[in-house]
Amino acid sequence: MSAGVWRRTWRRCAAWARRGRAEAEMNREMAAHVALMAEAFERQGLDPQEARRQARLRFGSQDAARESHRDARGLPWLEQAGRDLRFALRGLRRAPAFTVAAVVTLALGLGATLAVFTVVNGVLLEPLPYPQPQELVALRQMAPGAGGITNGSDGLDLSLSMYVTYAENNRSFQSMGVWVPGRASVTGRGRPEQVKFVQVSDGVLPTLAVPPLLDRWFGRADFDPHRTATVMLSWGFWQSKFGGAAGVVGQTLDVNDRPRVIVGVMPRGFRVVDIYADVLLPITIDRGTLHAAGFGYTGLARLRPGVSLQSADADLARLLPIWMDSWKNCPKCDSQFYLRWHITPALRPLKDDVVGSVRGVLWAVLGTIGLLMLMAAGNVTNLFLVRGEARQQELAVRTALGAGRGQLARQLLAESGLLAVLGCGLGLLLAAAAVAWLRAQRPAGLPRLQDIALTPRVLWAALALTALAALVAGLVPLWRRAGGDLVPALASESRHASDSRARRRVRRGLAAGQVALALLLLLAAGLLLHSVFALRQVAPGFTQPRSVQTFQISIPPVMIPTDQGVMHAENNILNRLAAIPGVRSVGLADQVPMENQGADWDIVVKQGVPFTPGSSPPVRWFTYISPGYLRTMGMGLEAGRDFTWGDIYGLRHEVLISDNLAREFWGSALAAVGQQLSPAGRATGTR
Amino acid sequence: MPSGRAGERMELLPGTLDLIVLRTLESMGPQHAYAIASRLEQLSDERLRLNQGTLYPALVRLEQRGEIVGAWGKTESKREARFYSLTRAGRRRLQAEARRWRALAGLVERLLEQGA
Repeated sequence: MSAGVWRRTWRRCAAWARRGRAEAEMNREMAAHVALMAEAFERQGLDPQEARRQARLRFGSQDAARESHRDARGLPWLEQAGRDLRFALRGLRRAPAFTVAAVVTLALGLGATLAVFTVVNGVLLEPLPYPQPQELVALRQMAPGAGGITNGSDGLDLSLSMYVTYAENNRSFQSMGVWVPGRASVTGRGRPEQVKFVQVSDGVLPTLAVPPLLDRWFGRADFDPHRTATVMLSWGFWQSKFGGAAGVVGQTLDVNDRPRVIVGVMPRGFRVVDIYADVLLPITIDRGTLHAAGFGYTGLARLRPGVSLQSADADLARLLPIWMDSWKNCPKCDSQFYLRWHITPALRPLKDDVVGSVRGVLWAVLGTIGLLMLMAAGNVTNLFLVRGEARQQELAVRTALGAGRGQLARQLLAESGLLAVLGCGLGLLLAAAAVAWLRAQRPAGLPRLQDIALTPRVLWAALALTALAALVAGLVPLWRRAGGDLVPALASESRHASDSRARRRVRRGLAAGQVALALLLLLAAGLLLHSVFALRQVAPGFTQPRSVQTFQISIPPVMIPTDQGVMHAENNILNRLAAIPGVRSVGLADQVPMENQGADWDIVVKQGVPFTPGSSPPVRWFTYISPGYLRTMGMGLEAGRDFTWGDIYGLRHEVLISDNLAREFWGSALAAVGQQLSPAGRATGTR
Repeated sequence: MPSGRAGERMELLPGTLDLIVLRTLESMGPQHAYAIASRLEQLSDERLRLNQGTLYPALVRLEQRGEIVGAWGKTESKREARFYSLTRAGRRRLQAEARRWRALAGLVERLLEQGA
């Protein structure tokens, strides 16, 4: 029985696909049928003409027979839909202004919504590309007493000694590790190249659990500083540098002039949390030289099944005293120094860590765009209402001719469906273009840029929105007809009378809703603009960033081993850069403003104010700069002078301090010049 | 019209047309649509009168289910016509339908007798 059903469905499709032939066959068979019957009547004595007439009578309506033959044979709903669509297309072609307005409005609304949803989906909804991503956590810890070392919501990073203590003693993790990104020079194979690397400790790769494409992960021996130095390649670097050669494992690669043996290649798209590195380097650890401090490493871990974030937090909190007791501290700090930092573990899901504070912003943007979409939908519905108004008579005539409500609904739906599909198709193109543009812009602060793509979920959302738009726009005019009286609609002079109160109520409601939405959007936009203007009023400390070009160089110690040599090299590089026509000034620094990639910090006190054990002096950030850097960045001096190369070559202990620090210690910038500072003990003059 | 009222007009019960067509083909061998329709009228003593064109959906349905097959051929009067014949699947279906109808008819019969 069910075999029969399947066979029938298949034959229906086949008959539909070859409906021209089936139609001819049907006509031939029916003609033969009538002819046979006429022949029989002739034999009964009727004259040929009468016989044919009788035969046709007994056969019944040929049209009805053909229609029921077609319905039984082919795919009647498909043919019906085809007819409805052709009809709708004709209707739309007759009203080009309406069609263009509706399609463009829908396309803009849907395009904007889908573009933002694509971003929300890629950043917030898609899971991280690791096995069992819900087990992955970022090892964050808060340290309110540590002052400037902590970094906003990310808190205090881990030190290597912390990592060793946690890794060896925790009860919560399947595995854990620490990592830190950076840049290095690759030489010896074609042109020298600066590459992005991520240094990983033992445990990072097993935690992320993405198997290597070629050969192996780092093994225990690779983290031993006394063994052969090793490196792993990313897929992209393997392709660009080695042409994807299979024999790459076992070859050496010079990273910062240190030869490293390639032990494996990671698959395409692999990233460490949110960093796409060219090469992976192992963090080699010599336990004898570890200190308590050095909080520069980001931690990640894979929770054991069933372990909650809270219990993992408690587990690490238990290990903090062990860590404090186990490692050497800074020269003048007592072993309980870190108690005053109030370090508390605050693990969070790795995905939250990657997404960060963007979450709220993205949802807000999606909400705003959603309002815009609602306005667009309101506009389109209104267009349909007006069009429906103009078509009252047409619909009434069709009803009078016997079209059922279902048929009318089908036709209206075909029309709105066609518009929705056109609008949505155009909207998808717009969204794709917007997403491509956004990805090309590489906006800072938007994580997971690579994950932002038109995934199936986005397409499903597009489909759902299309269906919704089609239903609403198509059925609202019909719903308004539901109570409508046929006769006034038919009589054209009473058409205005039929603009009933109910109808006006709908349109007024729509208008009121749109005004409310517009007001809301205006307010939101106003607030946003206000924030932008306020932000522009903030002086960042540097000027004319557009005329500043930055790039990074690193001079490997293997190349120039002495500090003196590095100074000369840097001086030479700057001089040669300055000689390029169009270059007004040059400078060197270990980081540029707003880059914030883990600058150095130390405890800094006024000369003559002794460091009292037990007190908690604030730590201060500092950065290294060359002469000319301040002028290049457009930074002015409140008092004193810039460094000179004489200061550098003379190895003079001199610093430039911020206006804030000068006022804190000596009351004013002017008063600070010539005073002495003491970073963790050494005396230094201020400029 | 050569018929008039021969007894009461009958309406076909839904689902019976398939059975009738299958049974006709079983007893008479391959037949064209006109012959099937005529046989139907003849069997019912002209009480079952249908527009002969209404037979076609049933023929299409049965053929698509693989229970009958149609093939062009010639009648005795050398006219062309499409002849339908029963397949094995059709035979099986006929047996199953016949059993079902007999059971149902017996049930109704019993109900009418005992209810009286």
